[in-house]
Amino acid sequence: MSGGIDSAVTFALAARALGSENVYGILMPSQYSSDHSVDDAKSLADNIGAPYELIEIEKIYNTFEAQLKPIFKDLPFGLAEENLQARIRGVLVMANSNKFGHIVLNTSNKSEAAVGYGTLYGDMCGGLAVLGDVYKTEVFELARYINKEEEVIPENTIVKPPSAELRPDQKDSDSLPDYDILDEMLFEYIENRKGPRELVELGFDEVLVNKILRMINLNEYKRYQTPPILRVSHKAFGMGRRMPIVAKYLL
Amino acid sequence: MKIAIAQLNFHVGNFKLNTEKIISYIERSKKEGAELIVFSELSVCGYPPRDFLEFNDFINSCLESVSEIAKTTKGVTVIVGAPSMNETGHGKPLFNSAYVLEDGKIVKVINKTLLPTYDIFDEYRYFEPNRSFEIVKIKGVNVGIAICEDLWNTGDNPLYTKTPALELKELGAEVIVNIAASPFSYKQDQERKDVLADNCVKTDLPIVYCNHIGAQTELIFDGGSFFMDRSGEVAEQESFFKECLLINTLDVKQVHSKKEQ
Repeated sequence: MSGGIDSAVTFALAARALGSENVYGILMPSQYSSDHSVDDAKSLADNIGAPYELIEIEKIYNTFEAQLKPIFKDLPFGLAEENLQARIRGVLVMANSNKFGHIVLNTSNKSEAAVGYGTLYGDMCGGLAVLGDVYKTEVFELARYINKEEEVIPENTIVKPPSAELRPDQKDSDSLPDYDILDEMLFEYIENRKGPRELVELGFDEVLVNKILRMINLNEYKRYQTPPILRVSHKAFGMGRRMPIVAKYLL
Repeated sequence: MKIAIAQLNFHVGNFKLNTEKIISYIERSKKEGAELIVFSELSVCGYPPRDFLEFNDFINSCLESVSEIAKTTKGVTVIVGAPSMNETGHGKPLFNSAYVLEDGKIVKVINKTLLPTYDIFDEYRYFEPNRSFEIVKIKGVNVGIAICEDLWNTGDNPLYTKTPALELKELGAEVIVNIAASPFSYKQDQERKDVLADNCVKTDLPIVYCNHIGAQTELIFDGGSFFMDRSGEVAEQESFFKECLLINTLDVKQVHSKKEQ
């Protein structure tokens, strides 16, 4: 439970499906998590009446860093350090799963899965990907729907800019276009099987088309290692969409 | 003819559970006075069984389950989904079938013609397509049995060359029973209704539709079983995502008198 919208919606859906007493949230803030995030996650769990635990990961991260220092020397903070945090969380979540027997619910959404925005063995771990066939824009719609009668998911979770919070001031919009545009392109590519030239004809910017298609193609290997995704659309990642890993399909 | 649709949650490979469930719903339906009881596609083994269909033992378990269910059909007719052996000597080893059970016996086996092999479906991996059509007389009514995808071509579907509903109509069918394992998607309920309504209108026949509920790994089955009248209107619809029994009486006189006109 990061305080972000994907884990919030997943948590709320799980509680609805299984009962609040049967879901269990784990908060794992680091030095890069905002205070908001922890408060939002706690509020959500309290609103739902579900149990949760908090494990701070900074000390674990520092230990990893220290042990890797002789090898990494003075190389700058980068992807390795970001993913370390994600994978520490993966390890902790799986440890809880093994100890108590719960299934880990993966919280990746379809947009993220499409462009490979998750960390293998980190936030991509789990037994079932609840939102894996739901675009980011649809996750927002779901959150609003869940809050129809009363505020279950804290408003802040819904309105703040999406972020992985793996480095200071990180935002999804640093590497990805606006989700409104991205999801439309993804829908045309994934569901309607529009190729690069057809996407440009539809009005998407040529440079963006190539950038996004490249991300989607390159990250097929990640989708080979994704938990089963609940299929709710006509074309979900998983057994219904079989693509090669080694390929180059661009303008 | 009083018809019962049993919309149930089947567990892949769990023959004991599936058989017990089917038999208990046969008993329930009998108590309601049902004459024909309809279960869904591959109900006996669950859907999709995928490569379990390649196991001889799995297939034998299917056939044993069908025999066991047949024993409970005194005085009623039951349609249940299960694979059957292809004994023609050529083609894939199995058919995707609907078994018609009556008074303790298997009276007819109807095989699926259109085998979906796209998106999450790969039925042609395991099954041989049916090539000839026949109807079954149940309580004096000519019943045309179509399995799921069989109704998804009335002439316009570029994937297929055969039109089972039209063939069954040609042979004198007075009602179509469509047993299915149709997974959920946002638009699926509406698409199903549109396609089946199209069949109703083109054949001037009512349709009895029976689907699974539950979920198997990635696939969610929403149910949404119904009785549809010959004009394509859903006469009575079962709930979504619930195990239940839906009962309706097909007006046989109406069917016959329509024919006389």
